[in-house]
Amino acid sequence: MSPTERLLAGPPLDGRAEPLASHRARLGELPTVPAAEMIAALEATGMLGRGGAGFPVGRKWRAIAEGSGRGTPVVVANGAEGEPESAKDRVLMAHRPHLVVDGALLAARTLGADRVELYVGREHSAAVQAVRAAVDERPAADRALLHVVEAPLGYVAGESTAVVHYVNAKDARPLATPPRMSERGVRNRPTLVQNVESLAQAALIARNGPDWFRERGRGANRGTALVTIAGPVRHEGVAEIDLGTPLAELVELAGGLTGTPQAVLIGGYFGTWARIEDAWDLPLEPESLKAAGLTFGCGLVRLLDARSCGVDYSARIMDFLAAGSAMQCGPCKYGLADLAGASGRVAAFGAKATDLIDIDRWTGLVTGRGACRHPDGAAQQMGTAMAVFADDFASHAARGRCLAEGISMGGRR
Amino acid sequence: MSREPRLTIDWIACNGYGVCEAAAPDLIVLDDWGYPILPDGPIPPDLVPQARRAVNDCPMLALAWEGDGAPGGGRLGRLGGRR
Ligand SMILES: Cc1cc2nc3c(=O)[nH]c(=O)nc-3n(C[C@H](O)[C@H](O)[C@H](O)COP(=O)(O)O)c2cc1C
Ligand code: SF4
Ligand code: SF4
Repeated sequence: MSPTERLLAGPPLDGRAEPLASHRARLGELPTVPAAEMIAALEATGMLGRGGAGFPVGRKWRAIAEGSGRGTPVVVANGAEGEPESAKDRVLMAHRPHLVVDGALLAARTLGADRVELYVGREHSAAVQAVRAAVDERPAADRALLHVVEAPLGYVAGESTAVVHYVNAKDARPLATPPRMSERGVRNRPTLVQNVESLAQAALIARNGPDWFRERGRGANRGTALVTIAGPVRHEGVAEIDLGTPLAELVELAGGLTGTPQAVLIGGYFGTWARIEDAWDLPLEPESLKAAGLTFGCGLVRLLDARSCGVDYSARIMDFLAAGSAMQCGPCKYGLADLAGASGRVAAFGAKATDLIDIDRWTGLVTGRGACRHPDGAAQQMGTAMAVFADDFASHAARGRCLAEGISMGGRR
Repeated sequence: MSREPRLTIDWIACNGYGVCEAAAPDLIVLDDWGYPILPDGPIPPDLVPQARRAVNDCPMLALAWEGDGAPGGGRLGRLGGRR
């Protein structure tokens, strides 16, 4: 692994959580930083949230510190990671639980919160265990703040209003959010919902300052980030990279190619597809990706081998996301199901004459028409797949023939 | 300060029976699944009466008015709408 790791520095990632003694010996105690200074430091880093939406972390903390919400704030560390191919949050929590706990405590101290909910996906059993053990290792004063909540299964369970709803009422469906969560969230109090990686980064920023954070990274948005690389590379899994590292370099870091990728899905199942030749030299960094019409999302980098079918892959994702709808909002419930149906028929060579046109139309029609952004993400994945795999979709629909199967390795690049 | 009137919708509350389309046929069309497609921008002045009717007629109180000229009617459950 790279010698430049920050979050993942320390003992090897061998499945064992770093104990508190080792964490303290390596990084020292979490320093006491005055609230105004801490928020200014976060703003100075320019760090964007790492849960997918990419909202500036400093601005979020400031909104709560200066907001008009009533009551003592609550901090929620979001470790749901419902994204099936992403592993960065579960790997972080399972191996560096104290960094996540430090980050959550830092947020609580900075915002004056008296409750921290550590919301960990229950399917990530190593992470659940590690976080529970880390809480037990903490002094009583900290333990009094820390509450571990096992997040239920489901893609939408990690959406921020679903998180608050579950913590409040054991119902992980998103809310229609009349008030902002920075004003009324958990127990109707001002609530910070922050991804576990974002919090772990904050714990290092408290120790080392914003200039140190910005020493790393090559693009507009700086620092390091956890990414998950999947597909035809020697070492699939989680890596910590400088933001702005080109995809080609990440592939090298992952031991090089073991196949011939034709395309890449960046950002998660609600992310964006790109042709491999368009993405190969792109800096993995939110601003640069945005300029290219792509999204950094949760840091998933999913290469698709030339022998695999992009139509089939994107249709399966669509099916997964349709099933993952919380079924509360019409366009999401029925629109995603119809998108899954149509793309599934195209993938299985049973397309109706209208399917391609309908997929195109429906991706536009579901966008922005739900209580949460689940349909937007699903449409983004489907829409970019239709563009990147345009020939494949057309061949599947019109000729009942898959282009991927007909292509010899290396024929695509 | 005046604010141009807009319609917002609570998607969780909306039942998709399309009462709003009947009330405001020149403003609201229904999508493939029967759910209303609202105008993107502010409500054009000549369609304000239709928009008011849609808000008042919505059985789920899913439609809300943002900006000036909110309908009275007494049935408006959510002042100001989502967000
Ligand atoms: C459908 C959906 C699923 C999401 N799942 C997660 C998740 O599993 N973990 C996460 O941290 N954020 C998830 N998010 C993003 C959260 O809503 C929220 O933006 C995030 O937790 C805030 O933390 P951050 O600003 O540090 O990224 C999801 C969003 C949507 C729309
Ligand atoms: S948009 Fe979809 S996932 Fe989000 S709340 Fe509505 S039904 Fe649930
Ligand atoms: S009248 Fe109300 S509940 Fe019915 S479709 Fe229109 S917005 Fe939805």
